[in-house]
Amino acid sequence: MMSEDLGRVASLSGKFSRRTVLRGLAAGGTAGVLAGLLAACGGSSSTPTAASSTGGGTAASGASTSTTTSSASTTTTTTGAGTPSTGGSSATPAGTAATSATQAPKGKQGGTLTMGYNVQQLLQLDPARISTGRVAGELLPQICSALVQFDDKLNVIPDLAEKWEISDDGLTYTFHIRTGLKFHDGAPCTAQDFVYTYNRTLDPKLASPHANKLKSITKAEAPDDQTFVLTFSAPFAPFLPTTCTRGPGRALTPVSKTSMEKMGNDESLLKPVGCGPFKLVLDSMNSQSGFTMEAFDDYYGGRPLLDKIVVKFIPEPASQVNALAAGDIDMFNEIPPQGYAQLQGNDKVTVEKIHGTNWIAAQFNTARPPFNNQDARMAAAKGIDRDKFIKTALFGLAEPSVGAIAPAFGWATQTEADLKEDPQKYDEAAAKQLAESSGLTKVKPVLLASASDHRNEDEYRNQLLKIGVDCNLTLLQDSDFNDRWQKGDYDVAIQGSVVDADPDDNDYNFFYPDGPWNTGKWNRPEAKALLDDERASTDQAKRAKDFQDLQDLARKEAAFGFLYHAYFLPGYQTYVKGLPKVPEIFYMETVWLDK
Amino acid sequence: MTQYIIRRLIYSIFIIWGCATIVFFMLRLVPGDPVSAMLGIEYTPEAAAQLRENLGLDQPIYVQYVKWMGNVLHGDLGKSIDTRESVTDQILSAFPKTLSITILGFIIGAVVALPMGILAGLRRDSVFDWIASTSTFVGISLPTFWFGIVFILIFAVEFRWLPSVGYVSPKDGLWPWFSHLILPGLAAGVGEAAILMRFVRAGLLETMGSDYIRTARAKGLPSSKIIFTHAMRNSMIPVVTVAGLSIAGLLGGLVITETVFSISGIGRLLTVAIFAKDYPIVQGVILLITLFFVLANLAVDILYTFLDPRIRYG
Repeated sequence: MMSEDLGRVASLSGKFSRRTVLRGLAAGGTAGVLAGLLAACGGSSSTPTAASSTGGGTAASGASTSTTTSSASTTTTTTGAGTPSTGGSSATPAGTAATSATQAPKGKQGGTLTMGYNVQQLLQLDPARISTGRVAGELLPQICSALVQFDDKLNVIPDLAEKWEISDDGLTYTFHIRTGLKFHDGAPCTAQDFVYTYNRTLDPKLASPHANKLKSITKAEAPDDQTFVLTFSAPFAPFLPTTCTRGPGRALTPVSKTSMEKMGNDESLLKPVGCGPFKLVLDSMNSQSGFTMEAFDDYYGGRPLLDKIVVKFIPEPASQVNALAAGDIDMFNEIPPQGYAQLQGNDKVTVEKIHGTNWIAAQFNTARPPFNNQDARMAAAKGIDRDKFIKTALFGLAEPSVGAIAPAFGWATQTEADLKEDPQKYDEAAAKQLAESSGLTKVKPVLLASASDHRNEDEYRNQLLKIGVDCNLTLLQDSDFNDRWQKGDYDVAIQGSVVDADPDDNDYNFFYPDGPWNTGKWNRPEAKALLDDERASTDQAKRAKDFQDLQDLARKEAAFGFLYHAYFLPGYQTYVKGLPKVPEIFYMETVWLDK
Repeated sequence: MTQYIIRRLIYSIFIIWGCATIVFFMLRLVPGDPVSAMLGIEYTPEAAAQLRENLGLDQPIYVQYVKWMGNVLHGDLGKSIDTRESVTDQILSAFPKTLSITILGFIIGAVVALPMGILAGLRRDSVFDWIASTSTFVGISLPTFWFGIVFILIFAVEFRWLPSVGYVSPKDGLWPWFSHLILPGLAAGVGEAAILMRFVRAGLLETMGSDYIRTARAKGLPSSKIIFTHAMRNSMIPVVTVAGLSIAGLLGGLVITETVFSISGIGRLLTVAIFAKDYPIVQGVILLITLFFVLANLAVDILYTFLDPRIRYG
């Protein structure tokens, strides 16, 4: 459940926005769940395991395409097959030791990397309490390792667990924890610490927003120091990517019991003590200016190449671009779209353009007029020219969307070309006719927007004006926005999800009848059945079909008017090397400075 | 005089208490919920209810007020709702940054404004006066962020002479500290200089037309003595008033400068807290700013007595 609204993310982190803030998590590894359920990954997907031959490891996940652009060169690399796995479910699922994290990273040792980071104020860094997905995807993985992680092909590969097995009925997960693991405070990290983390996340006093991800687990045990066993009441297919991965898997990311209890719940909110490659310098933490991390000598994968990472919070887009152009920072987590062109012309800077794990759409409130009328919703969906929308609102840095499955989930995502027919395809005349016949032109629907950033909503409103619909653009502070959106006190809101680890991560919340983000009250038994089925399914192809059928239904009934998938745009000086291109996630232990 | 100062300080306590109380209740009248802002889209009713209980936000407002005021009287400003950091620590961390920019901005403003204002006042309607007045107009009219970004583009991006973002503690070296302050100080100082220069010029023009200046000239006193000993002293009264208030105002009003230069000072602390409905931070910072305004006013009033011996407080 790494989802979150781009706009709100923006709001929490600063005034820059739903366009600029796309982060997250890697996608696709969906496979994960099935990681083991699938004995063999579909054809071209890479097997995460190298040393051992005991299992297929993970299912293939999404296709990840990245484009690296600098004035010097432009290269496009496509990785990952994007094919759903079809491995037999009877095979004993297992993941085995990964190579990447256990081999010493290659590159020049030493140096300090200064990373600019787009956030006004860091609200949390304790994994169990991080509510901002991009913080979980981009900052947390440096400090906290987890049971598993993603590779750059979006497969789930081992991290602290060197292998795992999933029972045939999908109800028991057995993780084999590496030996000799240490937390940054020197305490050993054993299976007992995962049990502690499980109980900590569920502790009501912690008020973890991720406790619900553990609700189908009936038992968490550590029969010995190296074995962690979870028992489920029902199969939960996306469990590995959404709950166990380094970054997204906040609910089960282990933290040191000794340090967390010593600090208490207040102090530990911003000062997690984990066992990742970098150690947070506790005294350096300032929620408004940044913090410092130092290489962790006892990291199980070998000391990272950088000595130190200094994170500086830079909330203003112009300052972000200027800081990178001036060489004051070595890297910025995400280039604001408005600064993309400027930096593209700078031969000292590299800007990545990576498919994200996000989708953004107009969410209609189907529980009250005017959008309780399907024709009105369809009018507002067909009346939007997605290409023009992307060009105007996002400087062209996004792809048109036809559903709530991000392009990074190559095994399930769809483009317009994949559809027999897109009922929401732009058609101004038809939209105008539907708007008139449904009476939408006679009312002023309330369009909620964040006062700090409403470029999306401005463009949306402008396009609807062409079909005779005049929205009442209601600008609110972010907390008020959240209040009204959660209460369903709106007609339409530009919403969506970023940093998903699996399509289930957001689809369940948005489309399930009583899903926490289904504030538009789109209530369809078919949607419930499809989501229940994909969660219980061990067949990745079947899951893909379930998700696609769900999108068909949502498109046909215009539960959402789908808009775009934004690109993930990290930027860095050309001397920064070795950053894995995992969508919306940073794993920095292999990064080094070629200077 | 001592009695006057004591009396003013006692009044100040009531002013600060009044401001704090008004801010406390007004914050809670504004729609929106800090818990909702904290949880964002990860909001669930259960997590929100638990968080409200943990933070004491489920208690009646008057209970929260009494608790907060009791803690303030014991020197405890509480903890941030959002980050659980101590409000006092947050303020102590942000204050030196803003104070550094404020002082540098004021010094830059004064160094530019005083000579230019004096010359413009003495050479009324000359080319210099015209240039100075136009500069003042530009300095007041153009927003701080524009100057900030232009300075960054020139001195940081183009020439790479100075850093474009961040703050370094003087403990990490005097030059790193100062180099990070120059551009924000300049950006803050431009507006300050423009305002001060206007007052210096206007004050001097008014004073130079006074009878006692004519008398001094008639007595044959040298011009320098007339200007610096007689005219300047009197024309400084409005300048001191404006300077005192603007120093206090800069404390909370540097949010734009702090944002452009990514410096986590008092202005940003306050603004971020207001948007996030982080009540304890807003209350703590308002207390500090109120205190500064009150003390700045008092300092200005006391300075009057030195500038104009006719002013007496009883």
